[in-house]
Amino acid sequence: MIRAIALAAMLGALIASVAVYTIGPDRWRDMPASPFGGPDGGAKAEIRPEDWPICTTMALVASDADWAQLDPDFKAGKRALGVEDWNGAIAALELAALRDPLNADIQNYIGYAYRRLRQLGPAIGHYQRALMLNPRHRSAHEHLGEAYLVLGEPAKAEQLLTALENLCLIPCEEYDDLKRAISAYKRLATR
Amino acid sequence: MAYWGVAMDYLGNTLATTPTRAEAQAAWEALEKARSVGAKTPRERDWIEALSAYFRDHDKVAVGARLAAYNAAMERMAQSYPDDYEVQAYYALTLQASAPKSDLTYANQIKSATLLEKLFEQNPQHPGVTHYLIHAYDFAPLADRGIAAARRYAGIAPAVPHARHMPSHIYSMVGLWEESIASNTTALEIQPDYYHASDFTVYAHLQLAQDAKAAAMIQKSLATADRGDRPINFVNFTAKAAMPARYVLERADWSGAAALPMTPTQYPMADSLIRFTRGLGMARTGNLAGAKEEVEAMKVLRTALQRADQTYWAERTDEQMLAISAWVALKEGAQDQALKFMRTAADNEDGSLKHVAMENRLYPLRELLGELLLEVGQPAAALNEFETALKQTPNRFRAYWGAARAADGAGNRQKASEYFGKLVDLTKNADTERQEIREAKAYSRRDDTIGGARK
Repeated sequence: MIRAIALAAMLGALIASVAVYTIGPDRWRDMPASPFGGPDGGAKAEIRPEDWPICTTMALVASDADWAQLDPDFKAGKRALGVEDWNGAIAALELAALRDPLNADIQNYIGYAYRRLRQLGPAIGHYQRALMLNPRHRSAHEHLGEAYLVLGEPAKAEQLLTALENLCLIPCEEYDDLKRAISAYKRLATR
Repeated sequence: MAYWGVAMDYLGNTLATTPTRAEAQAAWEALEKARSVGAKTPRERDWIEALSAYFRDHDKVAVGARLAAYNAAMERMAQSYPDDYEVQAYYALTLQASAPKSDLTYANQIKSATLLEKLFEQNPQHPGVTHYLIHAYDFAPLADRGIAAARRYAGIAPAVPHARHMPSHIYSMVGLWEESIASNTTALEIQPDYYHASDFTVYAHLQLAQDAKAAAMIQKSLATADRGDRPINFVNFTAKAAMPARYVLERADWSGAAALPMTPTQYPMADSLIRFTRGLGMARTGNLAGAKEEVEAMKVLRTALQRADQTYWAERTDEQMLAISAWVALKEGAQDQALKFMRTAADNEDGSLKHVAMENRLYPLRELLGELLLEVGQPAAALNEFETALKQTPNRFRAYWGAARAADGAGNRQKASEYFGKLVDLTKNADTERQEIREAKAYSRRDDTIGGARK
C-alpha cells in the first residue's frame, strides 16, 4: 500500500517536474555543487521540493537493523534521511565515506539527499560514483535513470533500464520503478 | 609512549577495519598528549609522528590517503632505523594496509612479504612477523607462498585460538585438507565454541569423503553453547548455517538438501545459506513449486539485507537465487535461460571478493555451472568450467568428480583418467565409500587394464 501511494506520488511529481523543468543535455554539470543550500537559479526555483520525483525504493530508508553494525556516522546519515534532514544526512554520510570510501550505498544515499535538495548535479555525480564502486548497484541505476528523466534525457534513462534488466534476471522493483517512470515520461512527451 | 600505545590500540586491525570518528578523535587526543609530555628520544618522537600521520585530519581526509601517509612515515622510519626490528615489522604491516584494493599485482603485499621473510630469518619466534606474512599471502595467486608461514605460525602463538586457526586460511585456499583439519582441531581444543573453525573442519572432512567425521563435528559444534564472553556476531551464524548445508551439498544429497530444517535467525545472510540449500535440493529432486517458494523467501532476505546496507550479502543472495532458478528452468525445459542464470551467478560470484565470514564459499557456483552443462550434454564446456573452478578452489572432491565425468563425456580419456585418479587419491583416507569413489576406482581399474593390454 505504502509502495503504491509512493509510486503514484512519484509519477505525479515526475509529470509535474518534466512540465516545468526541461533543460538541455549536460546542463546539470553547471548546477551548483554546494551541498549546503547554494543559490538555486533559473527554472529550478519554480519547483517545490514535493514536486521532485522520488523513487519508491527509498521509502524505507530509515530501516536500521541492529545486527548490521554500521559506522555511527553512516547510521546518523540514515536517520537524517529518515527525518528528511537532507543537509544533515549529507554531512554525516560524507564523514562516513571518508572512512569507507569504497561503499557504494553511502554514495547512493548522498546522491539521494542532494536530489532532495534539488541539486541534481552533485546528485548525479554521487550516483555515478556509486556505480563506479559497484556496477551492480540497483538503486543507483534507478536513481540515475530517474535523474536523467528530470533532465529531459530519456535515452540515458533507457540505457540504465537496459542495464537494470540485465542485472535483474530475477525481477526486481528497481527495474519496475524505472520502467514505470520512463513510461510516464513518454506519455507526457507525446501529448 | 604510553599515549602512543593508547592511540595504537584505537588503530585496531588496519587490514580489516577503520576506527570510528570517536575512536579516531580519542587517538588523536592521546597523540597530542604524547607530544605535550615530550618524547625522550628522536626514535620515540618518530613513532608518535608516524602514527599521527594516520589520525591527523581524520574527519577531513579519506582513510586511503591517511593510510598512505602513515605508510610513507613508516617507510621513512624504516630507512632511518634500518636495524630496528620492530620498525621494519610495522613498516611491513603498513605496506599491506595501504595497498590499493584494485592492485591485483599485489605489489605492496609482495614487498611486505620480502621484508618479512628477512625478518623471520633473524627471529623465527616473532609472532607478528609470521602473522603478517600469512596476511601478505592471503590471496589466491600468492597462497602457495604462504604455506611455510602457515605451518610455523600455530607453534609460535599456541595460546591464541585464532593463531591456531589462521593457517587454515592458507591450507583451505590451496586444498591442503589434512593440514586444515589439524589446524582447526587444535584451535577447537582451546576454544570449543569457535564455530568458524568448526566450519573449516567440516568443509575439509567433506573434501576427503570423511563424512562420518564431518557429521560428528557438526553435531558436536552445534551442541556447543557459546561461551558468552565474546561479542556474538553474524560470523557465528553463517558458520552454524554453513556446516549442515555443506554436509548435504558436498555429498550431492539433494533429498537431504531439500529437507534441511529452516530455523530463521536474525541474520539474513545466514538464513540465505539454508534457503539456497533447500531450494537447490528441491529443484534437483523435481519439487519445482517448493524451489520457487524458497526463491520467494530469499527475495525477502535480500530486501532485508539491502535495507540494512549489507549489499555484499544481498548480492550473494542474488547469486544463490539465480542458481536455484537455473535448475528450475532446466527442469521446465528452458535450457538457454537455465544456462544464462547459472553463468551469471558463477561470473558474479567469481567477481566478488571472499568475506571472512564465508572464507570458503558454500559451494563454488562455477562447479554448479559445470554440472548444469553436463546435464544439458555439453561435456567439453563443462570440463572448461570445472578446470576453471579447480584453479580458484583447488583439490575439491566435486570439482574432480565433475571434471572427470566431463572429460570422459568429451572423449578425453587421458584427462578423465587423471581426474578420476585424483579423486581416488584425494579420498584415500575416506571414512565413507561414496558412489563417486567406487566409480572413480572402477574407471581407474579399467584404465589400468586397458593400459596394461597395450604394453
